[in-house]
Parts: sequence; C-alpha cells; structure tokens
Amino acid sequence: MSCQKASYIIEKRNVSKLSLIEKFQLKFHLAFCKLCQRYENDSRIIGKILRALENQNHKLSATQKEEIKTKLQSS
Amino acid sequence: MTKFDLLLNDTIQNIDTSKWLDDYGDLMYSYAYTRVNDADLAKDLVQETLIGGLKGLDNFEGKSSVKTWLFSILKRKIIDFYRQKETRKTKPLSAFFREKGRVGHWVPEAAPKGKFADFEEDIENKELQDAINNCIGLLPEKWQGVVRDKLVEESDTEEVCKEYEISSSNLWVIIHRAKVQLRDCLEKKWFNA
Repeated sequence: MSCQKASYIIEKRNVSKLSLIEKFQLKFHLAFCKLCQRYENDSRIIGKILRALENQNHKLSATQKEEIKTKLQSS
Repeated sequence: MTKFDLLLNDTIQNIDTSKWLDDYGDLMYSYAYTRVNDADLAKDLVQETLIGGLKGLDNFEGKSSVKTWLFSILKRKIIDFYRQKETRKTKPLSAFFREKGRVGHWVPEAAPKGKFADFEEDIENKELQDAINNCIGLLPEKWQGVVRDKLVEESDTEEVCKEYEISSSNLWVIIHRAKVQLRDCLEKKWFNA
C-alpha cells in the first residue's frame, strides 16, 4: 500500500466501514511509515479544528439588519 | 377547497413574516457565515432567503416549521453558490509522487512534519480558526462546499452526495485530497510564517 492509498483509507475510515483487507493493509503500512503516522494524527486534529468552526457564533450587525429590512420592503 | 386547504390557508395567514428577520436572521447568518466565510455574502444569502421565503410563501405546505422551511431555502442557495463557482478549474499540486518507482510516496515538501500536536489544546483559538478558514478558501470551490458540509457541519453522507451530485466514492476522494491540502496549507501557514 502506498502513502497516498494509506492516507485515503485513513480519511475513509472516519466516515465509512473499512473492509478487513483495508484494515489489515492500513495497520501494516502504519506500523512502518512514520510520515503516515504523522498524517493520521494531523488529520484527526484537523477534523477537530474543522468541527470547532461550527460553534462560532456570528450575528448580523445593526447596519446589515437595516439593509435587509429596506430590501425586504422594496421587494 | 378542502378542509385541509382551509386549515393550511389559515396557518399561512397566521405566519407573521415581519418577525422572520428578528427571529431567524442571526441563526441563518451564522449558518451561512460558517459555510461561505464572508460577511457580505452571508448577509446577501440571508436577504435572498427571506425574499425567496416571502415570494414563495404560497408553496409553504406547513409540513415543517417556518424555521426548517427557511433553512431549506438557505441551504439550497448556498449549494447553488458553490455550484456556480465550480466552473473555475483549480488543479492543486499533488502531495504524492507520480514518477515510477516512487508512485504514491509523499513528496518531501508536502510530507507531514509532525508539528500538529500543540494544536490539540487550543482548537478554539481564533487565529488558528482564521488560518484554517483561509486554507479552506484556497481549495477548489466545490471542495469548499463539501468540506464545510461534511467536515464542519458533519452532514449525512448521502445528503452531501445528493446535494453536490457526486457518488460516495467521489466524496471520499474529494475529502482525502482536501484534507491533504488543508494539512499542508495549515502547516506552512502556521509554522513557516
């Protein structure tokens, strides 16, 4: 298994079930590949950062609200 | 008119559209903002959604709440936005070798340097979030929509595939490539800046 395939399988694993062969191949690859071990860890952390973006709260400013109100009245 | 139609008419007439902006404006804005990462654009999307809602009020079947219905309009508008932008063909650099003998190995510039561990304590850090938003903005537009829907919002896979008209294996390919690019971008932005 190449690093490209291994990193692909790492991503696939987050969202779908792997076959037995995929699981075994990935385990084997990760046992020897330092770079993909790092990728696995980085990928997990990026996933966390991305999910945290969802919790950002944004609010319309007063000006934006006024703009929308004006637009709504004229349409 | 059947009894049901009358009832429905009654429901529609009881909807106070003047309160939509105050009741759902911020919620829709926040939803749109996390997906397009642009204040003006997010505001425009909310505005268009409200206008669309007012014009299409007759189509509101009362099967869901007004809020759900307005959000379905907003979602559609966000997807349309990413679909429209899809025309630009961006070909990102490959992070993997294509040459014979080394096919599929990490190219040195894109290989993980193992520096991300520190982020874990601090994922809500504003600068870090700005940096990743920036990196998402550098992805091809269609990927941006997929990343925000699947990885930020964690939408159902089937739903995302349907919305972007892609197969599930196509989705994994996009997510894999996007994630590799994001990792590389964030590493470079954060540590070499």
